[in-house]
Amino acid sequence: MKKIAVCYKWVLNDADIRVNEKSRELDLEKSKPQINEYDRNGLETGVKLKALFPEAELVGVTCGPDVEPSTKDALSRGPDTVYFLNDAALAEADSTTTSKVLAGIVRHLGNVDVVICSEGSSDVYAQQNGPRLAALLGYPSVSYVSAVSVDGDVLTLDRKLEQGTETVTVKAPVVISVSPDVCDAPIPSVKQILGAKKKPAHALTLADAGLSADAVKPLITVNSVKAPLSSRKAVNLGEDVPEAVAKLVKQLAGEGLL
Amino acid sequence: MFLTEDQKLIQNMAREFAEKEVAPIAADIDKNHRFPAETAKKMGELGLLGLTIPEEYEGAGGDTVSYSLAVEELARVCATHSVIISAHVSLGAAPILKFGTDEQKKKYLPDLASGRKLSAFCLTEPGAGTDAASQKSEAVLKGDNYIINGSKVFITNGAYAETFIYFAMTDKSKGLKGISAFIVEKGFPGFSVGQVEDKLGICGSSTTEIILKDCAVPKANLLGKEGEGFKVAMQTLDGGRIGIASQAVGIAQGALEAAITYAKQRVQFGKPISANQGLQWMLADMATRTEAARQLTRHAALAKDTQPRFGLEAAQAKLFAAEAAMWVTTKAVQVHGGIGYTRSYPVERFMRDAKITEIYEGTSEVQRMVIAGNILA
Amino acid sequence: MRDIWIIAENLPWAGTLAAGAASIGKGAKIVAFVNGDEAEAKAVIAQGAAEAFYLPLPAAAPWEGYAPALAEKAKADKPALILLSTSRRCRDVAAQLAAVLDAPCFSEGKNIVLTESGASVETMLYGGLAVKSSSVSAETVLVTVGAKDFEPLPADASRSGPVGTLPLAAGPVAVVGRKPRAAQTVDLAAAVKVVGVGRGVAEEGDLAIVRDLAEALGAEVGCSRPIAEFFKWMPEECYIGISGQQIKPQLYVAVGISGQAQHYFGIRDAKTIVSINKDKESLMNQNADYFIAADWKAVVPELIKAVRGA
Repeated sequence: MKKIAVCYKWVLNDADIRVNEKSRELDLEKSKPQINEYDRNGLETGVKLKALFPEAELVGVTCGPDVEPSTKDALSRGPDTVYFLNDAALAEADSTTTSKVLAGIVRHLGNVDVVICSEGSSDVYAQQNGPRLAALLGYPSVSYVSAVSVDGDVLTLDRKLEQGTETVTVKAPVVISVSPDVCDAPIPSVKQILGAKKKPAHALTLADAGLSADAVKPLITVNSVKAPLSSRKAVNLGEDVPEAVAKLVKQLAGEGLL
Repeated sequence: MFLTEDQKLIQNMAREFAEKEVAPIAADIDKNHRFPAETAKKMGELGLLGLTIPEEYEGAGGDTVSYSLAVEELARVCATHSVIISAHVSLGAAPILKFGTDEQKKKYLPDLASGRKLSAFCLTEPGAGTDAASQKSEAVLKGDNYIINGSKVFITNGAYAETFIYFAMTDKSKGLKGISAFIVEKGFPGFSVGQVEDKLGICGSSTTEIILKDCAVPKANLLGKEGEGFKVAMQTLDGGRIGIASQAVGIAQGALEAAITYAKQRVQFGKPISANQGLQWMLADMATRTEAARQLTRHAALAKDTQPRFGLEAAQAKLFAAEAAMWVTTKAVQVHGGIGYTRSYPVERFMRDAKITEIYEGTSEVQRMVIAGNILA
Repeated sequence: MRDIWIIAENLPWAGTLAAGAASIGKGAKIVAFVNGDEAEAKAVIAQGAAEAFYLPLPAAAPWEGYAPALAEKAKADKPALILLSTSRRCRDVAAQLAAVLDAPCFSEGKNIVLTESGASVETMLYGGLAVKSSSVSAETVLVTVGAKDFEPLPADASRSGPVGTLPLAAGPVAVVGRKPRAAQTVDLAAAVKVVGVGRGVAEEGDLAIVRDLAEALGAEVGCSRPIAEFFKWMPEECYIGISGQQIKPQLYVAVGISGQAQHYFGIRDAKTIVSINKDKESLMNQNADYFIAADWKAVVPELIKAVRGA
């Protein structure tokens, strides 16, 4: 195994997104971008794979409208290098476009044995990029991977499905999409953070990915993004604990829930 | 102050660690006076215990600003964790890096920088606090060893450290110029840990007495030259004060955030108490003092990285930040009212933890002496 | 009008999708593809499909291996809309088909409307924090749909239509073993009452208090993601949220749960939600039916007493 690529997304930290009570619109001002939490498990899967093939190159891959600031963070999590494609045209990219760009980057890299994606991203959670990428590259797709082992260029993978676990074998090259339980994603150490600047990050253009500006034009028109109105009553039962508990029990008993 | 990308990433990392791993145990280690051995080990793995030690000694080779950011982030959720780092990095490891011989650095720093061993700084004695010249600890050279007798009090990390910077008189007649510094290992014969203190705050940290009884310390473990101990101590404390100032800023920040959250949710007379201007002004002053303390502290950290002398900046930062932390945390309890006085909310812990920042590594009065000495010189 | 396809993980889900296709397509021919045998295909016809293909689970290959054959057929038939189950296998197939057809694919779509040139669909953002309404022009639009999003039509055994299957070409992925999900200690998805544990419960030892509450209520115990994945205090199958269990109990009691959108996604179908979180403004309190903004440690023992006394 010579080259392993891990795709990651630079997404807003949804913990800091607020909803404007009146307009129901999202207030993104306090939210900073971060590496999609699911992708941190993907990056660590890459690190673990590389540990078995020390001579292999581990490459981080990302694209988006403003992804350059992600590279050091990504490099601190293990890759030897990052290839990023920054283009304002990708601001409204959906999986159709994103997977084309990622496929273009993987082709540009050449000879990638394993492409690792995570199960989804914390913003849209579409869960499409891995299988789409596989189809575009003509690689086999193995999704929902919860365990990885390798013998030469044959991967044995556990897939966690609704019915249970399916164990498959597949020969590289392959695209795998990993679930968060595939491995823990450690917090990078100070050494890893400071070491990131010694590793290269390469900027790519759409042309490098073999794409024209037309090819990444958004297919989808966004009509609105609004927080749904909660249908829940949010009744505050008060701060006096015994009194609040009494009210609650009465209420639940009334609804036939006790 | 503008932070570099590296500094921001280290800050994020420390925050993630603090929130994910430290916050869940902060109340417990305080309540049960439990040293957080497991998270201390993880701090070593993350490089927080060797943040400013060069890479050649297994450290992370980071700058003092990054160190200050990390200490602040930990103190924001748990002051105990921040003092474990600060006492270890600034007081235990830093003097070996600054004054140690090549052999001493190679022998001791890798274990300290990687966090395999913790360190501590032993200067204070029952009769020698600010007045360091009144040391009773005495070191007498006999053959290849110094034989040290004495005891130290209030030693942070005392029961968990394995490497100690110990100060003792090698020539009583010379006063401050008769003090020398030594690297003492836990395993040396005659070393023992004495009384464990029961404290008002930073309750998870280990604060103990350290006793040396006819303790034979190899001549090679003299740190700096004979008689240079006071210089070692003072210059080390200059650096240490940046750690304590950072700790104070973090405590103030934690208390400020808790007060803001509570003020927005606590409803009295039909509206959140944050709607009252009296309370708004209190929060505004808390936020402003915290930020002023933060800027002075980062300025001092930058001074340490860029100037030969930074004692004035460090003393000013420590003085201001400690007093700000005490003020802000007291106000944070006030914002909470009666519930703030209970352990249901973390603000009473922040208030208890803040007090020590006005005392250790030079009381606020000592900081004023240092500042006055500098500006009048 | 062009056809609507449905690709289903199982027969009940095929019923849901057929009902969805009927209500969205208003008269469009429904072509079904269902995991199973001829009997399943016939049953889907009874539930509204005009034509049905059964795709049996191969012994030595993943079911997703049908994707190339489905793609070939879709290229030829050009359906206007393809509805698929939100199950893991079908999501994989959806994404592969979308890539081959160069088509948009919406995950967990709601309020699907066919338009002249494509479709408009609502999807969730940030785990349910917001709803995004989108329109797209495309020859074929793919949408994955939840198992309960449409009420299946009553089966009509008199309906008939052609039944077939698709070839499964030898693929690069070989299945070497399948292990059914271990008998679960808890079946949260079916539980009538669930108590959820969040990070507000700061110590593993305190789980016992929460379990006492669950016992008093006759509820199962679930948890938020950090409790299972990070602290590992509870098995992974207990984790409720967007990438974990999605539950629909009569009563959900959240103890010390902040109510991040990811978690809320897993409980949004609960009938009654109670939150105990000392942060009054927490998302969990604000998205509950009833909340008590006080320390859970003070509330839960009182609640246990009161429930036992009730």
